[in-house]
Amino acid sequence: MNNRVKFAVGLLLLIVVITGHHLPMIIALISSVVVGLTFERRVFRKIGKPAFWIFTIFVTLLAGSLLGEDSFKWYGIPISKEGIIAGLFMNIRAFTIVFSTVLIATSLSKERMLRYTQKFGLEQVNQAYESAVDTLPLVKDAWWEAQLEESGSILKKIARLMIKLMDYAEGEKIRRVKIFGITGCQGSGKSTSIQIIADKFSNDGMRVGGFYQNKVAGENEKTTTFDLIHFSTKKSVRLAEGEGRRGFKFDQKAFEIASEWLTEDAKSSDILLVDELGILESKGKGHANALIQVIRKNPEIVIVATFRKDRLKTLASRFLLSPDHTFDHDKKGYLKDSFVDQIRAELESKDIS
Amino acid sequence: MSKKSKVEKSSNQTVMWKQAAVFGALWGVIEITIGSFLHATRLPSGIFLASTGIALLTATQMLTGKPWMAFRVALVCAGVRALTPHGLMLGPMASILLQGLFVSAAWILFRNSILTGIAAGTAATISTQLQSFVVKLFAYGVELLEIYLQLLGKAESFFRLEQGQGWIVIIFYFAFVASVGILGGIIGHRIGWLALQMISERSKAGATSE
Repeated sequence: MNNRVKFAVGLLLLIVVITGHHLPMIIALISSVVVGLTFERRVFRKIGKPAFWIFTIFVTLLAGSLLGEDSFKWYGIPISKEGIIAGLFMNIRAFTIVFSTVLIATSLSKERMLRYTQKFGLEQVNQAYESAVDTLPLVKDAWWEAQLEESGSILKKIARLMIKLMDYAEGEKIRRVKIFGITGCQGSGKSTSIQIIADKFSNDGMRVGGFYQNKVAGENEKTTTFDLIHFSTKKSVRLAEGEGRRGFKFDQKAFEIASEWLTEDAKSSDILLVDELGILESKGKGHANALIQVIRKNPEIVIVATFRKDRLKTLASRFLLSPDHTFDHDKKGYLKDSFVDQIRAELESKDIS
Repeated sequence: MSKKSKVEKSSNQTVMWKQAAVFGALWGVIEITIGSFLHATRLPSGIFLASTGIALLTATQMLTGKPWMAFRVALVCAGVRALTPHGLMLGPMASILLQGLFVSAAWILFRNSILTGIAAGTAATISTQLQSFVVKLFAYGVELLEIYLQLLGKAESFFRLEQGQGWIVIIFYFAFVASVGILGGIIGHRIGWLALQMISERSKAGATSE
């Protein structure tokens, strides 16, 4: 049955049933069932649910108990024959209206709607529909950017998101959050990978900023100190010293120096490397504030950071790290070229824009 | 009309529809996420979704400042919903279009005042309840109205209320529904106001740097 016929049949059934006369309603119901069984099984979608039938019985009994006169008792409930008949016809009317509206709705295909909008001179509405569908995945990226850029309340973040979308409509691009993560258990090679990345991009002529951690083994081959080494100047600062069973003692001055490195490098580097984000950063301390400030002020910069595996979930949430942008040493072994290529592609797309 | 102004007009129209497209997409995302959650929890989703829609539309209308922008956004969102696998769902589409209509009309009357959100929110949420009632009335016929009135009478006697006091309960119910819509309108107004402030600051910063 073509869509025009379906539409016409649906409309006819609808008109017949709303006249309210009993015989036409019965004929309309039977016709709906026949048309549905023959041409459009979707009309039976709603009535296939148990809730529909429970409601039907409920309406019939309700009408039976509230409408009509001369009631009799049925399990203690006063019911009238007139009311039951009225209830049954109410349901017949509802069934038929459901069938006919489904017929009408299924006859209005997407293509038909688009043709109508074109016919009425609303071509731009069609384009708007298509644009809206294409924009759906960008909304998520825009929201991530808004969260990073705006430190205030949720309402401010939503306002920031709306401005981003408005700018996008006026021709500006929505940039994806460009944080790449390297994770793995202790000793898996995160710091080594970040140095490899630094070397690769330096050799490609990129300006590399940030720092990596150097672990210095102490007595009995156990790690006792961590130094931060600045990529561009090779300067080093003691970050933490081991205190045996008491853990590590961190030097706050080192974080301040690292923060200065990040802030300066963000202005002049193509890529910023940060090693490592761990327990302190998961609590908003350590390098966390400095990094977030850098991201807010330099939304175009590409960042590669190492993330401690045992804090990955919290850190990924705090820094909006996507699984698509994460390399896990435990799962994938040594640093893969595909991950480096992913970073390179992001840098090149920044250059093009 | 000169050729240049025709081109400008066409370009403005294109930007307006693009804006309608992106905000329609945002609304679509919100409907899908919040709507799915509310349906899963079996909470009455109609008034909460309407309130959320009003918040978004009020903010959009204030931010863009173009007449009937909210209705354009609603048109796009309704169209996008029609493209979902479920196909056309006339009830939700009608609700979406009504919300756009209410916000557009309220903005024409009250512009960026908080009354836009309040008026549109009240109208939108109450209309979702009335829409539900009207749809049932259409489906089951005028006998349904008689059933509802009989039920109201029985409820009055069950709760030992005087005749006519049942309507007070209904009024309170609609007052609650309206308050949900008003909250959405106020939140939307706040978001719109914050966004306009951010744009103003951005313009000042841009002018200073030049």
